[in-house]
Amino acid sequence: MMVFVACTLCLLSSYLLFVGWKSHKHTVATLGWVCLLASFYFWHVALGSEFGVLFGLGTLSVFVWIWIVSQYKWQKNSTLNKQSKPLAWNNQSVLRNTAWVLHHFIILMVISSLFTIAFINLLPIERTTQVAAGIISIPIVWAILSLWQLVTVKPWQTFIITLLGGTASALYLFV
Amino acid sequence: MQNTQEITKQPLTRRALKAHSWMGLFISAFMYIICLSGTIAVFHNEFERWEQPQIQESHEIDTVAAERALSTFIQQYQEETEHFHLVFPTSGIPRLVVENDHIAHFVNADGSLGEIERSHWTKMLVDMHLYLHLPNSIGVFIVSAFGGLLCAIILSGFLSHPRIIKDAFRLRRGGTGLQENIDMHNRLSVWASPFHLMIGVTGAYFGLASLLIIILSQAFYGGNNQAVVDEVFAPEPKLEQPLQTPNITKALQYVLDNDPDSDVLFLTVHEPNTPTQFIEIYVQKPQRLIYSENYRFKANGEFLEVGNYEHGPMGTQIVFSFYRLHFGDFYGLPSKVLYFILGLMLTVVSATGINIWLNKRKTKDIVNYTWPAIVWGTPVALVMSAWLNLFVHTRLDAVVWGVLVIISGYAYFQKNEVKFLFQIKTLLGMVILGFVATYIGMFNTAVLSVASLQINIPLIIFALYLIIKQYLMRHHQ
Repeated sequence: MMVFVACTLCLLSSYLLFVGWKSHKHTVATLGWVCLLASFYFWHVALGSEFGVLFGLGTLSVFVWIWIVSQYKWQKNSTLNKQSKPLAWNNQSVLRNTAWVLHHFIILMVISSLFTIAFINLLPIERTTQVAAGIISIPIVWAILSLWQLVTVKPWQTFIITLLGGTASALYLFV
Repeated sequence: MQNTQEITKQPLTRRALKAHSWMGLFISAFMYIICLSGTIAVFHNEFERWEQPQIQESHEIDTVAAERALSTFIQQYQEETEHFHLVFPTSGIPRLVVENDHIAHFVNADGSLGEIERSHWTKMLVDMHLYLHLPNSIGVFIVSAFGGLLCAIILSGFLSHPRIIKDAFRLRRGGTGLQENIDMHNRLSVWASPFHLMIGVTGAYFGLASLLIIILSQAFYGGNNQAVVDEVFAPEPKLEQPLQTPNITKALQYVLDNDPDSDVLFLTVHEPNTPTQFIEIYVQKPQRLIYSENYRFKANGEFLEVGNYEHGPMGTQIVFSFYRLHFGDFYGLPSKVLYFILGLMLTVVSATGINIWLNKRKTKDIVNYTWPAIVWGTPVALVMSAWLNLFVHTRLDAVVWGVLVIISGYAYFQKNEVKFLFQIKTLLGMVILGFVATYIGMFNTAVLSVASLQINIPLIIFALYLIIKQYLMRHHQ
């Protein structure tokens, strides 16, 4: 019964968000978010808080598609006649991109791990929580560093700052 | 990469979009294969049952049959092993299995040993998701790195999407396919982003954990990796006992009496036939994401301790929840179906990302022809490997990659994407139907079991949908 109520509220929430979006009415959209919060309560009662959060967020991701699909716009099919060309292989470009890939894949992974562990070690929490926080934070820190490297207007400066941060963290941890 | 002056002039959203495209291109094909195999592998328990549908099923735990099976198994397989396991029908597969580190047997209702467990295809599928069929230590590391980069792609996707609210429910179909791919890609990725981010973080854990352990052990534990593991997970008890056959009935009864609301997953005898041997029973706690709570016993069945994962430190509980959180195996079929749908969304996001890039290019080359081959060829290769698995036990991973190479080669030499898409989708439908027909022929009455029907019926529906849709599209044209 509780699961049914939670599902109904989640469906209602997705509908209100859709109506709020379509009519540009913020009040309706806000009501949608309130319904979603309410659905979390019923998910929590029915399945516990851990499963409840997962089902609450997951079902919303699915339910919104009812409204997305219901109002899709069909455009007349057309094809672009593109010219077929052999693959433009540029050794220099491949080398540069490979080096860049390795930088993101390996160097930034190691730096983000060192930096995160060093930072979390400074926090006054027990070791097991530090480990858990590290496991969750490393991919996020890695993602931020990787993105920073790609969007920066000063790539070399960013690279050096990142490298210095990693070295400082390593010195703090190992020396 | 562009020169600095050019980059400086661009707004952040444009730079983020370029970053998003670059990262997407770099991981796309492998990300697609990881996502597709992971989505299908959500039902790995169901596939294991489906590979041997003739095995008798039951949801009851029979302690007498379990003990008899274990003692028969120990007598029959006297080779050296570090563990004996009893996997119970309440673990997700309603069958009792007894195994050591080398071989597994199903157990008949009377406790005698039944057929040998053979789930080669499921194992191949899971290995594809976990290691991309590379050697395990390298594979888990690379796949985990993709998890980390998935987080970066999600972040860059948000930064590069200024119309995130304006387009929240927009979907345009038809046209050249570009708008359709953009809308599908953006809607799916935005609405399911909490799930995708969680998958990225938990996926990264499996490989990054070893790096984390190495750094922590070098920094704080004098290079002792085990000390770091023991800090998070309950360390193994140090025992010295006279040698004896493990009394699993007493241990199992203790758990059934003291924790009746939990589901017993499996029982392990660690270091069997040594003075340090002990019994460990893993139970799944209701409404909890932690993999299990573990009860430990001496060889004579006397209770020792609990692992304390349920009420232990928050960090331990979080780390011990990652498995169920990533694989969606926590609330039976509903959670699996939800994870399947959300996983399919991430798979479509991976595919449409490259479609957008290809569509925006002014010319065509080998990538345009081979990308559809990877997208539709992977499921064809998976079905063909399952088909072959019915007849011979061979390297299924080699079959999958071999078929994928052949399909890609065919697509390249044909150089007609529209025609190729029609052929490959029809082929997928036909291959599925052919496979199911062979399966029915081989397993006779067992095909009417739940283990068989729950996979075969959706497969047939999907195959018919593909074939009819292709036929109607061609007819319409």
